[in-house]
Amino acid sequence: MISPDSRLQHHPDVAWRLVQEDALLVDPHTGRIFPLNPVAARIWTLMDPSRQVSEIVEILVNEFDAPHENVREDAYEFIEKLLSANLVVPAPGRVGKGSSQQ
Amino acid sequence: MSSAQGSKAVKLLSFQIAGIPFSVLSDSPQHDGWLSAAYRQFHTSEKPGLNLAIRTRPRRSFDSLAPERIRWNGSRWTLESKLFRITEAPESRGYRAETASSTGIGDLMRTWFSYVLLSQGGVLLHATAVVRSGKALVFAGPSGSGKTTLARLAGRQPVLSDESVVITRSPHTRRGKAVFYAHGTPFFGELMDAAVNKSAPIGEVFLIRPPNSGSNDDSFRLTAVSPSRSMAELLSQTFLRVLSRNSLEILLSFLGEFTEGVRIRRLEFAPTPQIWKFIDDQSG
Repeated sequence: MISPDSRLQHHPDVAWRLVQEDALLVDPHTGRIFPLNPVAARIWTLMDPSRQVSEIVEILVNEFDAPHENVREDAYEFIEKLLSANLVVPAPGRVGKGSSQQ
Repeated sequence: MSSAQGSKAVKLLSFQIAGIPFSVLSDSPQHDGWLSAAYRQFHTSEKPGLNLAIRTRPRRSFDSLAPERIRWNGSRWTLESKLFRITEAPESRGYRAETASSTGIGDLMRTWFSYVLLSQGGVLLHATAVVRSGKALVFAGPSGSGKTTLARLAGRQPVLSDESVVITRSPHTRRGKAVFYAHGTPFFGELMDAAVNKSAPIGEVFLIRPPNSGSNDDSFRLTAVSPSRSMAELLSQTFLRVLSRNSLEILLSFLGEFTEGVRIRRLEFAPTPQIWKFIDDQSG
């Protein structure tokens, strides 16, 4: 589970590239390919050890024309998927309470 | 099955694909015969910049259950598969390959060239390409998607390959945009005669598949594809089975530029000659 103060970072082995407003992630261990739409790509690029999940949501709310609650739910759901696919990992040292500890 | 023997005559064959000259030296007369015939349009007198030495080995030398993988020994890599093993030999600008089969040379050559090509800034794509009005229309898709069918429907239009097309980026740009070329290869599917040693600037890329089962058999459909989906499908149509992290970054960078620089659409089509009129009507 992630919480608003969770801090996450890209898994160091994941290769990725922005393409226009989309992004493509590739897990070299499994060979799985993940195409991301512009909103998902924005979340991916905002994922940084210095930024809490709540801060990412705030940025998305300001950038995309959608109700705050919808943006928050969608963002959390997507970030949970990234975590379960091991594409992101908790940032070392500054892990928020309730962050995933896989 | 043959093996390397001191008294056996070996023949050095020289080829050039997508402007990359290389030589092949195999201990198998079957390899020589097959390559001489299948790659006949790609023979060259150019001095080879790369060399590939192939030895046939007993099948027991290979683990038929092992997954394909790349192993690193210092700065050189070895690609291991169920039926062959390719090792980089940078000191001689060369590669050594061992194969369990004296006949399965086509797959080995295509795999080897895919890795060589990536290191030289190109990508081998599972695609057919047809040249129309001086531009290559590239049709990419998995086996069964209709590549050979399209090649057969091309009539007198030049076909670069019915199965595997090299994509390279020109060092020149046009109106600030990268220009990409499609090159014919000898890595054919069913149509050896469609393996033509020519190239052309790419006009458009189509991600192909047969029409949906519920639709009219005569139907054609062109639809937009998102950039990330386009790139994902192109990535899955390369012949690079396993990649180091560094190679993967190079490939993503190339395909990213390609996706941004070339128009890519999804094409569902029925196998009739009307496909060309449909494409012409929809292009522009």
